[in-house]
Amino acid sequence: MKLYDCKILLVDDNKELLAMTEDILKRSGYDLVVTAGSCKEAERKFEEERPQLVILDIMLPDGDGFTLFRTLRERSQAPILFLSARDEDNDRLFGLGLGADDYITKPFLPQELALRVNAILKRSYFSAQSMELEELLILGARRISLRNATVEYEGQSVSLTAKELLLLQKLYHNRGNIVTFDALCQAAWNDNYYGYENVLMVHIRHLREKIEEDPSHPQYLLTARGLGYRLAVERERKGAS
Amino acid sequence: MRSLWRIGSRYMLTAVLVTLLLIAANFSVFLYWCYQTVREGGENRVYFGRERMEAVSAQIILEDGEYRLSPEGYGILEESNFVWAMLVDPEGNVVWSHELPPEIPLHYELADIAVLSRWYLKDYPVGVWKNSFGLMIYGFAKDSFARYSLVSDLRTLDSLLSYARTALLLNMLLLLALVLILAWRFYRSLKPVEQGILKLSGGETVELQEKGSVKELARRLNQTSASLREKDEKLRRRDDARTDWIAGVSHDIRMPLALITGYSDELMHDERLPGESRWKAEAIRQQSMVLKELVENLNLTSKLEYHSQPLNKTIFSPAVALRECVAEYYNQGLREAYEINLAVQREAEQERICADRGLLLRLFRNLIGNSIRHNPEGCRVMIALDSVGDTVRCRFTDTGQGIPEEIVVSMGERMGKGERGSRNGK
Repeated sequence: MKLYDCKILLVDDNKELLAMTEDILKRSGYDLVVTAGSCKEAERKFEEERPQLVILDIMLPDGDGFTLFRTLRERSQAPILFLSARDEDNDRLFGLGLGADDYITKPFLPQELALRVNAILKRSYFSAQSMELEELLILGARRISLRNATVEYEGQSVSLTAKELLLLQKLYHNRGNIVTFDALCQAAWNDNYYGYENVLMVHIRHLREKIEEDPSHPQYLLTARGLGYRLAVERERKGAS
Repeated sequence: MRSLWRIGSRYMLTAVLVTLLLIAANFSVFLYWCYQTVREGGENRVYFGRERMEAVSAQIILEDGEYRLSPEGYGILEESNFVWAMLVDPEGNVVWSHELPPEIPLHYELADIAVLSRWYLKDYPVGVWKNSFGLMIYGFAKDSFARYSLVSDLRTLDSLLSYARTALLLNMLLLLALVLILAWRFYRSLKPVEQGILKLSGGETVELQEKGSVKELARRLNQTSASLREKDEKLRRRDDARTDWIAGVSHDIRMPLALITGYSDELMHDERLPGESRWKAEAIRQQSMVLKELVENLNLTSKLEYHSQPLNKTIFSPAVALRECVAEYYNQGLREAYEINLAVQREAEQERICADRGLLLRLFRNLIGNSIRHNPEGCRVMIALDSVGDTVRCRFTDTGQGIPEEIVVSMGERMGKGERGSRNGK
């Protein structure tokens, strides 16, 4: 099964919003979108269609989304995303506490919804596949295998240390975004940044020596001063050079 | 205990003052009575007149072997209270008399004289006066005078004095004890009322037992407490209603806003549309996101204002929170015209604060967002975190146009108000 073959059940009592959201998902590539306007209808459609993902509103005419969530979860482990006009932190926490996979408040940006739906589906159904996709990272002339922790360049292979690999993985998973010192230290040492400042710097330098053309003028592993590091996306690098 | 002492000393002072006042009042009334008595003289009263006895006795004359009273003597006798008079010669015989009742004997032995001079003669109170012829005896009307003879030895008189001293001391002590007991009782009965008032001023509910001398006071206090509670409840309900209403409005606004955002975003990405239309669609989308933020802030502000936002306090590192916040801004696609610099002092790196992390992050976001929103041509935002003593200081500055003077002034006022408000709230 491919990512875009996933069936999505959309539950909302506002018809216009339902139409718009369906449209957004379809434009993002998800052709199999089923809609429901009430809890009852949602339960019926859930049974009939067996969707891979459910997007739930909290306020429904014949009940609330939290109760519906519980009912659906009893029947299947399909990921569920709350899409609600209630921004109360309590609701958010309650929803996530119930085991929801994400919580988006209205109004939302269409790309945001598409990205989150993507992420949830990948995480839920394609993690094994995505690992395969991920295992090869190409930075310029270097081919980095995250599975083998090796960097191949001009026929030679250099190994990454365990910590270097963890750091690179963390950066790769958030490619294009700044990953804070704190997040990197959590990933590599499972500890706070304080006390690891120099250790982190040394590891990043070593990593740069292995993956960068010119480690003192990095093209991929960029520093966000005072914040953290960022693994540049390919397109950006071309623009920069 | 201090209030007990205060009450006790007040009581004592009052008691002493009352006692003194009573004594003074009695004494002055007595003096006034004495003065009146003296001034009115013997006109209205039976008067045991020694002067008259003396005067009459001097007016007895012996003429031709017969005792007589001179006319002046009769005059004095007339004015006096004597109902009868007689002269007894040294032998004990009555030699002169005036209006003598028949039951009065006409001869007296020494013993008779001794007895009558001290007590009564046939129930007549009598006075005696010695003159050159013998003993003048004056009789007053029966029941007009009481005569007693007081005899006492000096030892008894002395001990009477010391007894009076002891009695006075004992009386004072008794008075003191009584005052203290009364004060203690008063204090005890006031104690619950005092505690009730303290509780009331602390915002607690009071329910006192309505009994004893402070029954009425306790009842009033309970009433006040009940009415205060009722008012509190009303205020709370009103605040809740307002918060709910704002939450409802913000919820209702989100629905159409979601449609506006979604469709304007679609138009913005629609390549069939001319550039200007797409640019307008982007503006609509941007503004609807601004509206979303405004609604969120309004909702949050109303909840904070009316204390219906539970604070989720945790202990966390402000440095980590700031990095997260700034990184988020960059990761969401910060325009190139903007730059956010974060400088964390090394000492501040290990600081931990106890606060609602979500709310603090929102505050940071709002501050950075303000710098960006109000400087459309771009600016640099500088954030410095350092620790000063036992506090962490976080400074936000930007290279933009700055905050207009009048807004700074009104912000100062609002913050001043807010501070007062929160103090009251506590």
